[in-house]
Order: sequence, then structure tokens, then C-alpha cells
Amino acid sequence: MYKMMLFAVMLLGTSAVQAGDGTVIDEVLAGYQAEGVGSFSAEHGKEMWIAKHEGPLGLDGNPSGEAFKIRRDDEPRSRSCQTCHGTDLSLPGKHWRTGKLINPMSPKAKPVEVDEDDGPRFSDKAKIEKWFLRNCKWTVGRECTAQEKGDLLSFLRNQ
Amino acid sequence: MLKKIFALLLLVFLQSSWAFAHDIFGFPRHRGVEPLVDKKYESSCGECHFAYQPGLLPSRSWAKMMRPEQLEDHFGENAELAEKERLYILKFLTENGADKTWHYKRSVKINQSIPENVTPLRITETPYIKKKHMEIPRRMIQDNKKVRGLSYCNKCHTEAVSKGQFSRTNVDIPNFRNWDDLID
Repeated sequence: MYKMMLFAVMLLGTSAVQAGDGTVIDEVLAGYQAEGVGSFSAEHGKEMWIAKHEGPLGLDGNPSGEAFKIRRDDEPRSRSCQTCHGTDLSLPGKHWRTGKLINPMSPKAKPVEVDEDDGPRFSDKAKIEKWFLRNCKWTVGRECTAQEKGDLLSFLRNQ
Repeated sequence: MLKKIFALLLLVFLQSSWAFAHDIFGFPRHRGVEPLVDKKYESSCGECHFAYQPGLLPSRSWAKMMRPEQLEDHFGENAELAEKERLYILKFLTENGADKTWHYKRSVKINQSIPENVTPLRITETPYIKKKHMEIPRRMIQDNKKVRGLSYCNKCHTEAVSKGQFSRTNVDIPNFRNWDDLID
């Protein structure tokens, strides 16, 4: 009986972690505030999420002013977060080049690509930072500021 | 009983000496590439693509690929990693490159096909891999929506991920189940 109870407690424990209760996001946001950011705006995060940017090659095909490292002819001329993540955050996105499915950004949505080591969305601090670094550089041609990352997270966590 | 134990010991000895002989005389003992699994490698690289086994490229190729400026433009994608992760993966890949895993036949073949003064970054551009796929028409790979390109190894090599096996008998091309009859 004792063993069964222990098992039940363990099961409950893992399900609590699996649910992605947002504590990691809180930690990340607190980190940004320690860097000097005041408050976060989900509203601004949403604007950033849908904002379209000129790629390394501008709409006219000439190099744009942004400091993009990668300049290739086959890259989308105009881009946003939605280029790969799609417009509906509860649905999976698709990488523009490889076609690989990207799990939905909404923490409530069910992942499509299930990796046993993978937790739910926003449950791994290092992963959040890894993808902010890579994707901000691809989308806007530079790293995002702590304020911008905080705004984006504040928007995404409630989707 | 004693006889049985003795026979068993003899068997074990013979088997290991067979393997040992292969190792000293330089015959690759295994068929594929070493099916290495590393959780950090999986999460850092396998999030975007098939986690190519280190034995698919020589160590010097991995060393070049893992340079920070290379990762910033990784075949047109930004694949930057935190420095701690980058160093870990660099070590994993370079310690197990095709030139280091000479007991695996595919790795030996790949490595031997590359001239010493060349450092390829694409597995698909190594002479051995190119030669092996030369006969396959575009419609089965590049123009096949379920495959898209030679770099998606595991779309056709059904045992690539689990066993590091790339032999012809384990190939199943999506949309072309009868591929073997269509290619000479």
C-alpha cells in the first residue's frame, strides 16, 4: 500500500512538471528584470510577433540595411515569426526551408513531435534562450533585447 | 557441467579473438556507422534535423562545422549554441569522427573517399556518399515530396536512426516502394 501511495505521489509529481506551470517563464522574466527591464507588455509582444521585416535581401532584391549575417537568394524577402510558426499558435508551424514541423507555441496546445526528453513549451530556460538567439537573428537580423524577449514571452504564455 | 563451462569459455575466447584479429588487421568489424546516442547532441542538433552520427564525417569536418562563425551560418540557418554546449558537442563529434571509428565499415569508406586536403561540410558531398546515390533518379529523392533531399537520410534508411545501418536491404523510399525494381 505504501509503495502504491509513493508511486501515486511520484506520478502526480511528474504530471505537475509536465503541465508547464509557467514557473520557468517567471524565472526568465525575473532574470530580464535583473538586467534592468521595468515591466513587460504582452501587447507589444504581440505586435512583434506579427511584425513583418525585410530580410537580408530587401523586397526589391537589393541588400537591406539590417546587419544580417546570412544573405542568400532563396531566403524569404519578407519575414516574421509567423513565417515558420504560422498564424495560429495552437497549431504546429513548419520550417520554411526544411519543412520540419514545429510544435505549437501555445503552452496549452498538444505537441505533435513528441520527444521523450522534451518537456512542454517554455519549460527549459536554456532552450528558450537558444531559440531567441537563433530566431531573432534570422527574423530581425540582430539579437533581441531583454525587453523584447520579455514582451514576447508575456504574449506567448497566455496563448 | 565442467565441460559445458569449458565449451562456453572457449566460445567466448574464439569470438573475442576473432574480433581482436579484425581490429589488428584493420578489417572493419561492423557494417554501418557507430550508432552513437548522446542526449545533448540530440537536443542541440537533432531538434532541426536527423542527428547525423559522428562517423559520417571525418573529425576535421566536424571541427570546422562547429566553429562559432560556421554555426552562425549553418547551411543558411543560424545554429548558434551556448559556448558550453558548443564545446561539448565539438568534443563528442571530433572524438568519434569517421577517421576515429575505423572498426565501422561505412565510416572507413567515407573517410577513405575524401582527399586529405579537403574538409567537406556536407555529408552528401563526400565522394563515397555521392557515388552510392548516383543512380537514384531525382524523382525519388529531390523531387519526392516525402523525401526532399539526400540529407534527409532517415526518410529512406529505415535503420539509420536506431542502428546506424545504411545498407541497401534497409532502404524504403516513400512513394517508391518498388524502387529496387526501377533502378538497375
